[in-house]
Amino acid sequence: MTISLTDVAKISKLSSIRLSDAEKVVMQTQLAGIFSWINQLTEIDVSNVNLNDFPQAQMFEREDVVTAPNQVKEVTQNAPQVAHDMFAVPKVVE
Amino acid sequence: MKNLIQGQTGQWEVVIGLEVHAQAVSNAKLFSGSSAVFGADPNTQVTFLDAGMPGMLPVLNKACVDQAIKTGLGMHSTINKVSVFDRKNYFYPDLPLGYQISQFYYPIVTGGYIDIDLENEVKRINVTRLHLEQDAGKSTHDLHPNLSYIDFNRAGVALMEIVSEPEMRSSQEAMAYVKKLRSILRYLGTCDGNMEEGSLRVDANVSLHKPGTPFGTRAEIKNVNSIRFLGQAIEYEIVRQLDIIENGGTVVQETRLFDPTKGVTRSMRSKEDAMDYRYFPDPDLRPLVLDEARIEAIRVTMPELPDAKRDRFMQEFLLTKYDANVLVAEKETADFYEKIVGFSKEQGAGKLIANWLIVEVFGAMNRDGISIDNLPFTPQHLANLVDLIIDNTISGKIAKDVFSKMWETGKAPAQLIDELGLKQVSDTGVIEKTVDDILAANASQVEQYRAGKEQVFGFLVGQVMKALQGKANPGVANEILKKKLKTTN
Amino acid sequence: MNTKITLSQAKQMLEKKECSSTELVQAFINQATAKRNLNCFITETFDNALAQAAEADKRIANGNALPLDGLPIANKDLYCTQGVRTTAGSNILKNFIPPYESTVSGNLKKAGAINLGKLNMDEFAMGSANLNSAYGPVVNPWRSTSEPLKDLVPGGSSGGSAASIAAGLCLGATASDTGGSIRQPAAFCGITGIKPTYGLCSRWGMVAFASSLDQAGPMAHTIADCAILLKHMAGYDDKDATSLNVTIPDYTANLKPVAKGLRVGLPKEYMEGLNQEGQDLLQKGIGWLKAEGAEIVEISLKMTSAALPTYYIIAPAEASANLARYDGVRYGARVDSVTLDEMYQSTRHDGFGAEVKRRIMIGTYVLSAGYYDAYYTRAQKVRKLISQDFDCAFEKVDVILTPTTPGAAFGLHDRNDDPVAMYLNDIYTVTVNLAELPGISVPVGLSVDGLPLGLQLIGPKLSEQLLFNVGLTLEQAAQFPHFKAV
Repeated sequence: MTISLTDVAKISKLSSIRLSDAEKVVMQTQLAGIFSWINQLTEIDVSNVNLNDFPQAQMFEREDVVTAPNQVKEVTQNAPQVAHDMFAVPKVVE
Repeated sequence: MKNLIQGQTGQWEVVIGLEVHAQAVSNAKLFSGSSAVFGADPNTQVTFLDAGMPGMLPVLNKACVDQAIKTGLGMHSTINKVSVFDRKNYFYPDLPLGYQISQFYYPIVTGGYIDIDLENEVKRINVTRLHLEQDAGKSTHDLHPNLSYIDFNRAGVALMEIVSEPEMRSSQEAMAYVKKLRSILRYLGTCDGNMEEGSLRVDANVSLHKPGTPFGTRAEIKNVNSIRFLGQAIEYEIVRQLDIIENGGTVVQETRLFDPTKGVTRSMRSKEDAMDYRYFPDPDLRPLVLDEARIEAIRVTMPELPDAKRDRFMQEFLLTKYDANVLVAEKETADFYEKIVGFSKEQGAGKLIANWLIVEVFGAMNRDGISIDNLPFTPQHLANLVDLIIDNTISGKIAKDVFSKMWETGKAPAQLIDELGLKQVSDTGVIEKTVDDILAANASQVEQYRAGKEQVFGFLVGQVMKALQGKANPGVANEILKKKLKTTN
Repeated sequence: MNTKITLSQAKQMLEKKECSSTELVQAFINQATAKRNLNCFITETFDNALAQAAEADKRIANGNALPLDGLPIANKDLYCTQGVRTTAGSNILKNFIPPYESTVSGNLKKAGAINLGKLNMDEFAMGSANLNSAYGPVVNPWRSTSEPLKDLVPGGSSGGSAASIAAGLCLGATASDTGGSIRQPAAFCGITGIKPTYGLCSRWGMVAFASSLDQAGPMAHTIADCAILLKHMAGYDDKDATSLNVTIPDYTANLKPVAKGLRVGLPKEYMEGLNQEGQDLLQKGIGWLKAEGAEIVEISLKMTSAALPTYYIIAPAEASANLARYDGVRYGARVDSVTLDEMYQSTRHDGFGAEVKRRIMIGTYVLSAGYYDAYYTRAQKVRKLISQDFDCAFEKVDVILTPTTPGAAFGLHDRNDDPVAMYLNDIYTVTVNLAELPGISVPVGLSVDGLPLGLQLIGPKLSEQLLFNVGLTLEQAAQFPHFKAV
């Protein structure tokens, strides 16, 4: 199983990381190397492993109580761009 | 086969599946401790997790789980003892973590059904599943020409996503389904169903096919926030898709938005570039394991649901299915009705009370914009009023006047009847005398009636009622008049 | 006053009023300033530290000293520190000032420890040489006798934490370990570091890399130092749903060397391909333990060779989702753009370094449609087999002894462009994270070039006390020159 440039382009899009054409080529080589090494996992027999016998460690659930105060200042203080206490981003066209 | 659409190339059937997003009633959000209440100032109900900040972790709110269980029970579903939260990965500014915590592989509820009432039948729509997931933040696009603004107050609020099987075959069925589901959710108290505020939203998957052929490509209409718009959107889609298909084109699998001002759906993004969400179990959370005791504890708190209540009303109070359905649509109404009946001292007043509630009370409520929790009279008052009709103290017609006064003043009917001297005259002696007087004063009309002109009866009855200032028991007056008209002098 | 002291020694000095916290903190600040060339700190908080030292001195004088009062430590820049810039070694967070304090760093703060600053690290904890930091590499204070002018790596990702202790810039540091990021740099820098059982320390406020593997842990010169620090760092936190609800023992009170009757496992797979130096080191360790009454048992951890590829599926997969929040919308760097999509793509292209980008791509790929079962599901299954391997082993032995690393620290400029070569640095440590077990690295010797070498002890879940105690046996026997690089 090889990684193609189309694969790299697709993953780059899915992960929202722009890659130039040159960068895509480098990434393809590197990923191909990594994956040919990772692929040794296919040789392992996992037929007897059941992932669905969920362990006893169960979900911890919180009480339905409001514990957080109004912290609009702290929440927005690191924002690159804020207006009307809201986060500003380039306009989204739906 | 019903619900077929006549096209140019033959008959078509529309296939509709609905995904309803219902905000679960809770104080705090699904995984964080900020308030889930609607309408606060922007970003004032946001924890650092809701803002997707580094190092923040989700902790599940038990009340939201309970609401999902309760809703599942209300839909006759299977409550899964083990369920898992998965991350649904995509980028959007209203998604603070870059993923939504949802349930994909092992949802908390599977199966179930909703029975919907159509004109002549009850149709069962099966439910595929219900799962819990985080709601996203809200974007505002019209405050600036080049910028959108994001408010995360809604981000992280618990949603119950309820997915139906694609079994609806008309916009009416789709609307009936949402109406019924909403009613059930409100009865259960697990979602307030407030579509204007966005606590209930519908995504509709719509496709066309010729009966007997495989389902066609579907388009998804997202975030419809009114039942009426749902109907309109589906109708528009049917026409749009029919037009494409019959002209040799293919329907594109895509996401569309309904524009209520123009009454059209328009393309949002192509589902063909279908997003690969790369679901995987959220490693910050353990599997959710439920035991029978917890489910039972919720089961015993279940109220009587609309269908069961309706059937009981029909049986106990001898109501028609239609009237019973109207009364049980909202739990508050049904409870109010039963309260009134409880105060009535007459046997079998149920039917008349229902009539009064549906026609007079609802009418006045709509006219004046009053809701059922601020009525100007008590349930006892209405019960009294109906009892006074049944025991002939007043006629139905007079009762309407009393009701108007009751609505205005909030005074008890008995008091108003006394004050206004509206007591019905049933004393046959008095009525007989009046009838005699009227007949004597209208000899020509009497002649006409006896000659066969039956319409004159109405005029004569009117005269009798007028003479008695409308307070005559109309039934008695009718009888006496008839009797006297029969006897020839 | 020099900084050639352990945390335990410093603690005693303060208690005996042999020096003040202000003097102590000043000494470490002086050393840190003198050794800025090592590039251990991304953010220094020296003024604040002195102010806190003054407060500590007051409390100590009044007799109400906090448990770690007045002791200068530092925090890996992975821990969100309230009001103090936290970068996780990345450009994308270069101006991020958290409005909250992580549970782990907060615990130490509450106990009175004084934060000298935020320590350099591989970006988002991805790396094993601290060569992936956006703030430049960290230089190992140790130098090879054969090439004394050569800069060496401190290991990673907790390179800054390890080097700062080895160079005497602080008494101890918080660090994190996802695939070996505490143990491997501890070995490279001649200090002690423990990765506790998964869930022992809270991950709240710790910038996430791989949620099911990340674990906080202390680094310091000695076992006793780590025991003190871990006691305060660890503990149940209801804000972290993976946090273990267990009482943290007083590791110091129960600290004593142990080996009599101990069954020590030697995994044969770890010996395969081990170089002569490593073999000799292991033999030394075996000798010390046997001399104290331990029994050596050969065991087999047959899934060992599968561990690294498994790790390099699971960790990137989780990271690809954990790093999706860095999109320029709510905090961190943003590349101003016309469209939203451009903003995301450019922000993340510019903000993330090469290794981070690579791992996000790997993670995205193994989770993508068509590959999820072949990679992610399969890796989870193998992970389960790896855990079962250890479960079986711990039926026969009490602890497992292995080398921590394949060799000593390598040259900073010996950079290899093959990512896989870098990944192999974690070959002995990664299994431990996959199995959620505790593992400790103890400095026990020097290579032929005079560079530190460490031995690793692995125990069953919640066996930190045992690891400290057996580690103490090794420490006492090894007599490692802790302050040689100060």
